[in-house]
Amino acid sequence: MMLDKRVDGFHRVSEKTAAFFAYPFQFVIDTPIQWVRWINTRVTTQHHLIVENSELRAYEVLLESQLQRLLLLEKENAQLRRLLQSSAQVPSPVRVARLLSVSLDPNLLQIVLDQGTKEHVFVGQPVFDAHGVVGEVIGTGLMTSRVLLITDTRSAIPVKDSRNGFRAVAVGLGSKGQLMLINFPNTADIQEGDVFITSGFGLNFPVGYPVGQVTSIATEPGQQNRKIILTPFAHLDQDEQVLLAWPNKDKLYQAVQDQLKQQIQQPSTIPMGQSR
Amino acid sequence: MSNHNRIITWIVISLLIALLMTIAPFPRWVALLQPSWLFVIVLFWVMKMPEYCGVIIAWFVGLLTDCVTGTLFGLHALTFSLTAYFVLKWPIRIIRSPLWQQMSIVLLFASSNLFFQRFILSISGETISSRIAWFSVITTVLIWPIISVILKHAEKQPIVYHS
Repeated sequence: MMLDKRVDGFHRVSEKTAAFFAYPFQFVIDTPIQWVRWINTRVTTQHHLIVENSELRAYEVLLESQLQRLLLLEKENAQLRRLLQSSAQVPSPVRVARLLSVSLDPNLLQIVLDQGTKEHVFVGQPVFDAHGVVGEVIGTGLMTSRVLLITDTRSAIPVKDSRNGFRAVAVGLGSKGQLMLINFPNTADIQEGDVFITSGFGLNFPVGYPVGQVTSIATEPGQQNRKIILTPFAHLDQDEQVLLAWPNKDKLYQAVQDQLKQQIQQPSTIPMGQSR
Repeated sequence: MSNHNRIITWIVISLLIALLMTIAPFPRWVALLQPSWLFVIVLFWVMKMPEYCGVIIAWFVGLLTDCVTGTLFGLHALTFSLTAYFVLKWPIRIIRSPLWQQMSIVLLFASSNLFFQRFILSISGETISSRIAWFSVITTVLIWPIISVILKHAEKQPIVYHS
């Protein structure tokens, strides 16, 4: 146990063996539930299918029109960034993963996905659903991987207010299903209803994905900082499918390389004692 | 040796079913209150057949529980083997005693098991659940009679039916 907690190499090995031994049992539990779902989708009335089809077509037309505006906005955004001489953001490739219908220890707010290192899932990968950020991959096996939900107390996401750009970190509060903000200035103008999005700091989550909305701000008499509670957007309890993203860090590496080359060529301009 | 094989089959099948119940997807509040299936089965076999199921088997079953539930690796192994050790150390004639005595002993062991788990989780800094999880001890005790009735047939000799 101590080895698992302290030594990262041991933890990776134990994670892989645990996933390997657990997979047959998870498969046995998950497959019947998948069959039931399959039967459920096959056995529906034609009327229900016709209604659902027309609803989906209407929704598709709406989404397509929004997509056109989004593409236009992205192009404009890229042009503006070029004017400011900062690099444009490249959209990252995503893949859909299915949740296995197994429950891990209920203390741990974690879920199991049906993709693992075979599909190049890596530890630290961000996971989203259609509504917001779900969490981060913390362990991978060959066939499965485990995701730490954002509401777990060990999880912390760098976020920023979408209204005025104040940055903070959102940590999970555990089983209550909410997040709390930490590391924000006390004078920050944060109000109820503010939407918080990922700020991209920490270089793990791509920028701009919605995390949660402020539902309560409490001022405690003895404390200096206010206690701000967010409700996450993602449907953490009801998800069946999530998106795995492979964030594109090429531009970042390029920028770091350029910076290093610049510093090597002009060593005299760096004052002594500066850490970077 | 068919009796030996029969007993081993019973043990393995009961452990497998307990494992599947542990990872079955219940809603979260049910999952917090669900009895510790594997713990009950291991406790039953350690009390009933100590020559087949001892501290080492309890340790391996605990390790398998850790693999399957994703907790700290070795947590359940430690708590299960400690419980098995204490059960074997105290010469209590458990199986022959009346049901209410059995259930109170199971209550004792189940609560010590849960206490150990929460203690180790808290000192290692992992997340622990809300206090409502203590009620899982009660459900564990409540399924003990059912388990003992189902698995009691393991010790009987096979009945030969005359036509």
